[in-house]
Amino acid sequence: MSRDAEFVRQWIHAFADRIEENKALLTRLDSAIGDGDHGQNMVRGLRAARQSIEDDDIAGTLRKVAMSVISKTGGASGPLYGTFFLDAGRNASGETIDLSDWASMMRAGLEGVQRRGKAEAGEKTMVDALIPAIEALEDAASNDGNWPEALQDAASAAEEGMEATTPMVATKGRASYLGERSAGHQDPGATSTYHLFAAAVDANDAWQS
Amino acid sequence: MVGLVLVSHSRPLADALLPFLRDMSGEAVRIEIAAGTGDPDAEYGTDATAIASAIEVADDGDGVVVLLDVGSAVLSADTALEFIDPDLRERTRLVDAPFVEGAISAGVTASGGGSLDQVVRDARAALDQKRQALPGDMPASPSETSATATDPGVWDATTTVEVVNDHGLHARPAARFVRLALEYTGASDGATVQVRDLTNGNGPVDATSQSTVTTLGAVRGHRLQIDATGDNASNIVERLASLVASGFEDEDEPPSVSTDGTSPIPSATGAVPGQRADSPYTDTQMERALRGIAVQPGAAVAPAYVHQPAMPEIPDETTDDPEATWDRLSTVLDHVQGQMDNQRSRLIDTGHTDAADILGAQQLLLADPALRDRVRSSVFEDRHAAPGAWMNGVEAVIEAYASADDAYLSQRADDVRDVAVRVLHVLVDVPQEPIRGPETPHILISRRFRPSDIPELDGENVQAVVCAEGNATSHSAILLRGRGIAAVFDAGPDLLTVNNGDDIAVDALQGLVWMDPEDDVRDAVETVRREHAEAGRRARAAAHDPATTASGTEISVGANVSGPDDAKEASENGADGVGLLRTEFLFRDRTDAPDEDEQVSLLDRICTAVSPGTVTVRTLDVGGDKPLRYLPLPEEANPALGLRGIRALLREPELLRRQLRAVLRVADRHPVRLMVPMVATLEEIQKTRTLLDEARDQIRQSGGNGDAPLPLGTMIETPAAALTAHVLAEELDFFSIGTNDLTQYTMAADREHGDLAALTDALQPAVLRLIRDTAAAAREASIPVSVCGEMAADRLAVPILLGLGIRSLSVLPNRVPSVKALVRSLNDTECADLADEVLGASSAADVRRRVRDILPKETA
Repeated sequence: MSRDAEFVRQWIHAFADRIEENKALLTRLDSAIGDGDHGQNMVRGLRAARQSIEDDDIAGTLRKVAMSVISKTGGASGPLYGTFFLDAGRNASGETIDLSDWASMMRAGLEGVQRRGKAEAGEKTMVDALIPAIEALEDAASNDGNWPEALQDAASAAEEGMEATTPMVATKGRASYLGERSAGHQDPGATSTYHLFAAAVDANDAWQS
Repeated sequence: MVGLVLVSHSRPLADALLPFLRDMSGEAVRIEIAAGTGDPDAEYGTDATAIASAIEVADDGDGVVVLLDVGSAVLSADTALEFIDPDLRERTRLVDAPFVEGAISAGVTASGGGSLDQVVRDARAALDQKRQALPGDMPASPSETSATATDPGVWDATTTVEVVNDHGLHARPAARFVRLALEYTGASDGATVQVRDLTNGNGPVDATSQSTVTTLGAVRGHRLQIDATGDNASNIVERLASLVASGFEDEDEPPSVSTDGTSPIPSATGAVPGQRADSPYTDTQMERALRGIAVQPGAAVAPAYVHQPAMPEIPDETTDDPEATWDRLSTVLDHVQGQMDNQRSRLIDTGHTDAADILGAQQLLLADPALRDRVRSSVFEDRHAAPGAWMNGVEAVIEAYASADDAYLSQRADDVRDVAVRVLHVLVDVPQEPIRGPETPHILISRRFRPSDIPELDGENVQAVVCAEGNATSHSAILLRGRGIAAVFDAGPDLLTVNNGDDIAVDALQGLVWMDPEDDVRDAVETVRREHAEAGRRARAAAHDPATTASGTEISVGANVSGPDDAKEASENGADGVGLLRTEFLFRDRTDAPDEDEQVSLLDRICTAVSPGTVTVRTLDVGGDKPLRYLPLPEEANPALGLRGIRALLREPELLRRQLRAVLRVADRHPVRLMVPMVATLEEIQKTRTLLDEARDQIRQSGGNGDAPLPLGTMIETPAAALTAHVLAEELDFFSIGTNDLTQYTMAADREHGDLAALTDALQPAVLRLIRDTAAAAREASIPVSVCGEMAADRLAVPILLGLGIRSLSVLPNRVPSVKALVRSLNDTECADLADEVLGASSAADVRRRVRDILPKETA
């Protein structure tokens, strides 16, 4: 079974919808340990991304999404999510992708984020949600898993990764200015990343129906 | 030049930094801002795509340094690098410098021509000064990147100097000090300059680093030691020392906001309260002044003379005989053309070529068929009498020009008005009133001047000219500059309320005018006048010094001479010899050719006048358009492409041999070179050399010295000569590029053709490429090459010529001092970069635009 560009478009729309719905939550989380603009910034970037989507192939779609996110988001999430989409798109070839393609696209995106942000696991960043989600995808792909289950596993892993950021002490990004005081708050970046993977589940449902 | 990009979360923050930064680094550095996000950059944030475009714009090939403020600016800038060309990425540096201090240090180093690594180094060291000043909280560890001077062991030159300005080597003075040092180290490999403060023991530090020079803490009264290595070490330490010793008082940039927090130390001269240190006027005095545009510097206090030209009344008449009316109009137009022809040749003869060119442009307006058609239809269709018809036609043209968006075109409306009024006076038969001020010193006032007024001004008594209106780039302004008459334009309508004989004070350096000035203002303006006159005397005195670029390269500035009077003027103006002696004056206006002795005697006079300078004698340059009675040449349909120069002379071997003998005899006594015009082939050179050898033999036979040294060179004025310069160079001793003809032949455009003026601009990229190739061929063969066309005195062209490798210029005698002064302000590296840049331009106009953009304002 493979997925096509329509699936990717559904994914971006679903992610944008989720961010709009969770804007207040993201703002609250970011106000606790950051500068409170993550919700607003992500909404602005994804609105632009949504509008930029045209009838392109997978790589082209992701490139446009990346450029919109980079130029409209502001803050650190612009370059980070932008690089994620950009590098994921660069690893998509052809009209359709199978599960292992998807997993390697997400892996490429993760590597882009780490290259850009220099963050490792355990530093209370979006990487803490990205890594378990992608490992789950890769597991499923190497075991000939199916799309719905693989995407669901990835979303659940991202959610666990997100929740695991709460006790962490931030050493990267704005939250690191707070040092020990950053512990006890869930990381807003990891939270939006959880929604990125949850959005893939939404997209898959829509695509299958 | 290294460019800067300022990346900030906040657009207002970056916008506010820019003017401050410009104040320190000047206009030449490319500085781009990428700040804010959202539309229009109203939100806090950064945008990688905007940063990428800013980097692209800021780069001119020398690289870009990116200064960043907080947080995600780094992420965005890093992302931006992915979007730019890999070559550009290689020369782009994101620096971990403090935003404000780093930008200023980087800007100063970049503006001095610092390399990418130097700019990065100085940006990163920018915090050192503050760290030293505030050692309390932080460990006072100067940055590891800081430019501590490395001692080479032996210095080629050393000097000491006392700091005399109030704030010492701080902010802008330090910036100027560093720029000068950078110009030197940038121009010669391995050259270094260091400076130490002997009074407080600080240093030595690298003199090319703004951030470390300011850490010296060198304030007024401190003694500095400046050391340098390199070929011109003594020159640079002297120039740096005299800059410091002058108290940086030749500062001509606009006054800046105070750049430090310390309270000003009272000036040694005793500052008047309310008076800025860099202005001779108090705030109250400034408030009372009318402010205009400074067109030509100077200052004066004198009675006003108000010139109000009366426009002749235009009778509202019709005509019954349009044929006769049109005939009369045509006759008058031709008559005025003839008058202007005469006036133009007078101007050319007296060396006022700018004024002659402007008059030529006006003549073309007069001949414009569109104008004539309008006037014609006004006569034949509307039956207007001649004056009315003429003005109807003219008004339409004026309107079209005046409403043009282009500033150049809109000012041409003045020229149309000028020529229109000239014709109108003839039509209504009322003579045009010349400007006739009193025969005592006065200041001439008018609403605005017509270009034709300016050559007629009484240079003895007109101390300054002030107009209520007018523009600095108008022809009147150009002509006033040419005449050197102090002038202020656009002083506003209040000016015209002044009465004849009322005293008026003018500071045309700052564009200030005081009506009915009080004593304090008179005194201040009088002081400015005295100082300005003194500076002028110094400049004329400096004209006799060699012209050396800021980078230490000596440029020879010779004169183009057409007779003994010119030679005298050349010598008075400090010309480095005669770069082009036109010998036509020996041959013109006579019934037979001058004999050898007569030629020797006149050439001798010229050589003596400019002794010990070298005189480059051009052989007789005649053609079918200016035949000599004793040298019949066929009348030609196309004289420019006919028998001219060496082509004509080789057909008259006896005439040429006689001239060569005369030149050889003079060469026995003076340094002389021989130059052949209009060469297109190597064969022409070979034939000339054969004749020269024959002339030497003839001298020997008559018992003279036939072995006088006489280098043989050629004019490069045909594309053929330029394209084969490497071949010609093997048989010649020097080249001289005649840019006027070279341009006309390269562009296939007649110099006198009115519609092709843009093509006959020597700054056309095609011409510049031929000059570059000629200079390269000369360099290859190790022979000198000079430029002797009008281009050599064009302020926008000189930097390009230097950049193309030209080291010798020859200009009208009266232009020598200003060309020398211009040369001294130029930096070799910048000229080379500039030349590189403009070779890729799309037209001469594009070249001029780019030069204006790139050169510092005071140069362009």
